[in-house]
Amino acid sequence: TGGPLASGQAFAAGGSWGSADVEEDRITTLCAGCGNFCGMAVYVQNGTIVRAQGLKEHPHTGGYLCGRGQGYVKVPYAENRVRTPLKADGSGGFQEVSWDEALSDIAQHMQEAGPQSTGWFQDGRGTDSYYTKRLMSAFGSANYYDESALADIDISTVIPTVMGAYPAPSAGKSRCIVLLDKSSYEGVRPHEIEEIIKARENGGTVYVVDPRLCSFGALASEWVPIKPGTELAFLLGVSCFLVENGLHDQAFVEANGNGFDDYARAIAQYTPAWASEKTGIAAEKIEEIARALAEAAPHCYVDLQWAGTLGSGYANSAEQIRALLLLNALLGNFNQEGGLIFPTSPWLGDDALDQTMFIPTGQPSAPAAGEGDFALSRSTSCQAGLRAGLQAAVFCECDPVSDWPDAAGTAEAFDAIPFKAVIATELTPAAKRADYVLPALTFLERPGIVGTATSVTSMATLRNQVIEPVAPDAKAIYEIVTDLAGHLGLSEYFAFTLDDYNEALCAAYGVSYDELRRASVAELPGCTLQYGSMPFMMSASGKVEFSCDAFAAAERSATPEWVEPAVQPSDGKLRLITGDQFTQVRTYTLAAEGLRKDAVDNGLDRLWVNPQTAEPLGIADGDRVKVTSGTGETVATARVTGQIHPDAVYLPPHYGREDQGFSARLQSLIPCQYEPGTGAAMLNETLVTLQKEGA
Amino acid sequence: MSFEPVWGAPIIWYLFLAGLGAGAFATSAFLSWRHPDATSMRRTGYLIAPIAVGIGLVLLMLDAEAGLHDPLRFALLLSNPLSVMTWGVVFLSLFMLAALAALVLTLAGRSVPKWVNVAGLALAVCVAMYTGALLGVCRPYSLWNSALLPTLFLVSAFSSGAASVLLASVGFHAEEFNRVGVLKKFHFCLPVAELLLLASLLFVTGYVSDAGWQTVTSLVAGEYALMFWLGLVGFGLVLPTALETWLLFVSPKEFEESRKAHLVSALSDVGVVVGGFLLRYLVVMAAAPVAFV
Amino acid sequence: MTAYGMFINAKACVGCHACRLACQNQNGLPADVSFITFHERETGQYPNLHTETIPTQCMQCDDAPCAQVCPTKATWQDADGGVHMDTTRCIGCRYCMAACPYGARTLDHATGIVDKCRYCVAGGDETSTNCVTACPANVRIWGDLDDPDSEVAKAVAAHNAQPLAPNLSHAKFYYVR
Ligand SMILES: Nc1nc2c(c(=O)[nH]1)N[C@H]1C(S)=C(S)[C@@H](COP(=O)(O)OP(=O)(O)OC[C@H]3O[C@@H](n4cnc5c(=O)[nH]c(N)nc54)[C@H](O)[C@@H]3O)O[C@H]1N2
Ligand SMILES: Nc1nc2c(c(=O)[nH]1)N[C@H]1C(S)=C(S)[C@@H](COP(=O)(O)OP(=O)(O)OC[C@H]3O[C@@H](n4cnc5c(=O)[nH]c(N)nc54)[C@H](O)[C@@H]3O)O[C@H]1N2
Ligand code: SF4
Ligand code: SF4
Ligand code: SF4
Ligand code: SF4
Ligand code: SF4
Ligand SMILES: [Mo]
Repeated sequence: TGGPLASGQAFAAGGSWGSADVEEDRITTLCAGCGNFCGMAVYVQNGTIVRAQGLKEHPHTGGYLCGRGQGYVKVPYAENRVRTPLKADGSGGFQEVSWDEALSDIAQHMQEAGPQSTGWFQDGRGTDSYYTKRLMSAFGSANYYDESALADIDISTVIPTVMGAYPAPSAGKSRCIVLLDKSSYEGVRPHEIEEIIKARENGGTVYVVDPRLCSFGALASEWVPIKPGTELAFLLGVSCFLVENGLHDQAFVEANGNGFDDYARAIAQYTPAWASEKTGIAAEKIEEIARALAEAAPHCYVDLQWAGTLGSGYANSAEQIRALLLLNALLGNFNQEGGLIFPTSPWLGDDALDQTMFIPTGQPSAPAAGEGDFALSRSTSCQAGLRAGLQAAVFCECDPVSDWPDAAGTAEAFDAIPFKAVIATELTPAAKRADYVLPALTFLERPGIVGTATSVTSMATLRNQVIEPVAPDAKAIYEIVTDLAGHLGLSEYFAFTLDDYNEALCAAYGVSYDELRRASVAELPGCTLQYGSMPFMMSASGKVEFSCDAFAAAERSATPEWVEPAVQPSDGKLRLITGDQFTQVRTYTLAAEGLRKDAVDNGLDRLWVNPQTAEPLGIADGDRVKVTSGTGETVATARVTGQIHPDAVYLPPHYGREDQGFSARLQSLIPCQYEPGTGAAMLNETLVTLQKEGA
Repeated sequence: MSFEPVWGAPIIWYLFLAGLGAGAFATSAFLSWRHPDATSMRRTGYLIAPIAVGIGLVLLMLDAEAGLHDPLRFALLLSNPLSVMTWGVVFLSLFMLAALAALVLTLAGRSVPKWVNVAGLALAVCVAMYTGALLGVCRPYSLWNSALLPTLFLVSAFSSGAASVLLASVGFHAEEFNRVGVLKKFHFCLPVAELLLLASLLFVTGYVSDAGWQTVTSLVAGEYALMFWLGLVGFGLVLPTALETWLLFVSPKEFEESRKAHLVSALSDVGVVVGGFLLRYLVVMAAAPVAFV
Repeated sequence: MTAYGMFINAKACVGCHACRLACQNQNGLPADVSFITFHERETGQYPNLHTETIPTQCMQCDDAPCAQVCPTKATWQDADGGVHMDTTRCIGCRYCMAACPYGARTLDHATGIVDKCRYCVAGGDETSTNCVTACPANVRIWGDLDDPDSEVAKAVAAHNAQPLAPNLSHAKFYYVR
């Protein structure tokens, strides 16, 4: 409702500075703008959302939301909402059908295809994934595909192998921070912004080692541009310098490391001078950073970001993550203030829930279709799953057509699956090509499942419903799954309500469901970190694996070694890099009109090109540029800027949607490929050429 | 740096038509003083004045969309005595009164009293200068923010107003047209004055700020150069001056009254009118705002 | 006198746009109307660069050029120099847009109404405006500049913050750059 006078009319006619006298409800919930699930308070007037603010009590927010969090609260009101179940009419359009008709037809197709030829694809948010995974297991299928191969598979493979504990930064008290491959403020938690400011105010140094100076650079002490793909060399160079000069924490390494001597011998060759050749960073700078870390230790860290760049970026990403974890171990910063912390959270075993109500589903007999046999892991890539000859598939909040590499090949593979249903809140490009589209409720229109937010003191969290559904016929995913299970004859596995499940989780966690429904966050008893303690290591040796048998078994070096990236920029070929922007996540946040317009107004979809690269090609700021790779091409507007390494161009991943008025499409350029060790999609191993349009 | 002009075609036409109308009235007032027997031409000027200004005012209202949605709001236009636009509304209303009175009297075959002409002329000066002052108080635009602009607009207004009357007369009242020598001589001076004012304005603008320099560059050597040199300077100022110089001072007296000469004269007047429009167009569109970050 | 103004530490601005989006929510603005604008500045050459994101909005000019020119008093100034907007009086002539040195006026294409930052005070919390409370980098402080004990006045003094363009108007926004 309402024109400009509807709310916030503080400084209006009459000149009063006071606020308008409107009844306001404050409801706490969790943001869905990205995977951080920040706690937030949403203010509602006459049933309409008017504003949102981060919850101070939630460890990721510090009381703030990021830009996309602020903008995404308006997504329930998106114009393009799917409002009723839709069935493709065979001539490019859709007809409205009843839920019953849609679900029974989908169930029938799933049964006809059978568990081995039916797939379920779900994006990184994994909304209600307890239900969706459970459905597929009960159905007897292992064909459940998430997007980890496109996101963080290198990280999630290497951490258990090398240490088995998951780190988080403790920025506030840090004396020296190295952010590698991390846009941080553009990518990660609002609270970290305040923390980094605190670190700087306390005299700490923040190095950003990145081929791109993202907007977070505003808070860094120094930008150290690096040749993209050579971070591993940088880490090896710093590690070598520390060990050669005895600057590492010898006591820590002795007590907690496994195979350190082999490690020390192996990395001796990676001197700062050697690393300088590879990275393009001066050897003195590498030494300076190494010394700065050593002086600050243990109140320092090299950050491990959690994204596609590191998690599935390069042929050497897995090796890079290993080098990074071991470098932190050299600094002895585990569970130290200002170092890396390893938050604790409760582990719920199989018997945590009452098995008479939550009947176990058993293990599917056959492996997943398209199962990958990778040297370090056996996980299945969603890209492979899409190409595994499935007969029926459900895509839950997942838009391969917009978001996966090799846009043309992906669309072809998607179309080749004979029967497809898409669960979505808006009519996405994938939805438009499906046989059925099922309308999902957005995050503010439905209750959620109890989860956790890990931190120094970990919390139980709950997303609460904030408004009545704007699309009243849409359903929450847990409801859709429960109903679909009914049509599949699997009701016994879902003979509980969402409240039953949440109460059971709360009982297991030892928190009050009522309290969570009131406040969205509650401290988890016994989950407060003790500084100075050693995290529980789940690696084979129970220690930090400086020399690692699992790597040796995968026919890799037991100790870290230099691995070349798969492709090298040369002869006018540039490396295409990407990274998240502050106001978008993937492409789905564009559904919120405010975020889409912000991108348009500020030209956020531009291609970053260094002047040294642009000038010889006759490309000026604002020119339209054709970008071509071995996989495809796209046209983008150039932003000629010194904020990018001359060997690389940067294109954000969020604007592939032509139907939303954007043209530049990253995903058209990136090939579908698999790193042999982990199956990661190697998203940054793409070379492109530029040509001014019309030239 | 790219910027979007605040105003577009309707306001450009409005500024042009208000000036032209004021100039047309001034021409008639001048005629009744120096050429009292040129009654048809005088009637033409009295006719053009309220019509041109009236069309301009309609465009102004159409452009003010929020007012269009709620027309009662136009009554609020007189609220702020400090606003140049409020003055403009006052000037325009009073001027319209005088112009309509003169028109009605003329059409009724009565003579227009001298005080109406004097008051109307004074208001015509106010209207013409106001169109310049309207832009002039806008601080961000160096091109506008100059005392020369109201004067330039005044000269251009009277020039295009007179040209419009002469142009209509050369077609419909050729015989009277031949007799208004003083008007023609006076009219001849205006483009010359305009040229000097324009040159000064650009010179000063180019020096006061980067934005001013950017504006002038875009006019004389950039995006707007063709329209500026060929349209405004060439066709709108130099050509009329050259043609009139030739007609007034070079060509034999007999030629001046020939049909051919009338065509030449008409061409020159078309030039002046088009030039008047282009001046408004270029001033509104090319002005770049001063950078503030 | 009270002189409400803002301190903006542009050095800390991470360009997250949370303020813009929070403002649009708070004020029920259409997606294509934003009271806040961001200016990206880059000086120097790769790799020795200085970059800035400078957020701007209505600067509450003491000499309010917009209020001076507004014929309907839809934009008007109170005795303390606060610049207010009464959208019900606006005819959409855009004179204020032409007069504002900071491009701070916004045109709603659907209604023709021209608006600007309202200094909204969110949810009864009169200590701050919504763009201030939404900023995760604490870039902004709002308050009474005439009260030397106010946080905003202290910050302006401590950082020797300056208006962006003193030659264009007497703004009540002070920037650290
Ligand atoms: N080149 C390159 N590619 C990358 C990365 C990279 O760094 N570089 N990063 C990777 C990473 S880290 C990740 S996590 C992946 C993520 O990639 P994806 O998770 O595939 O991308 P999304 O845009 O999140 O796709 C989600 C779809 O869900 C729909 N949706 C949104 N909200 C809702 C909702 O509430 N309900 C329902 N039912 N549907 C909804 C939207 O319509 C959207 O189309 O991308 C990876 N891709
Ligand atoms: N705004 C926003 N926030 C998000 C998300 C989002 O999509 N948008 N997604 C969420 C998810 S799923 C994830 S996984 C996290 C990811 O958040 P982050 O881990 O911070 O990842 P990105 O923001 O993608 O940052 C990648 C950074 O790496 C840089 N980079 C790219 N290529 C290279 C390279 O070759 N070498 C080096 N050294 N740097 C490189 C880019 O310039 C960029 O600065 O963010 C979460 N938060
Ligand atoms: S980081 Fe931003 S988008 Fe993600 S959950 Fe937090 S507020 Fe929402
Ligand atoms: S910044 Fe612009 S809108 Fe605000 S008071 Fe100054 S002139 Fe008016
Ligand atoms: S657009 Fe509205 S606020 Fe601006 S000057 Fe005109 S009437 Fe006043
Ligand atoms: S003070 Fe209020 S209206 Fe002004 S920019 Fe900030 S949030 Fe928007
Ligand atoms: S919210 Fe703060 S940090 Fe973010 S863009 Fe606005 S002023 Fe800058
Ligand atoms: Mo991710």
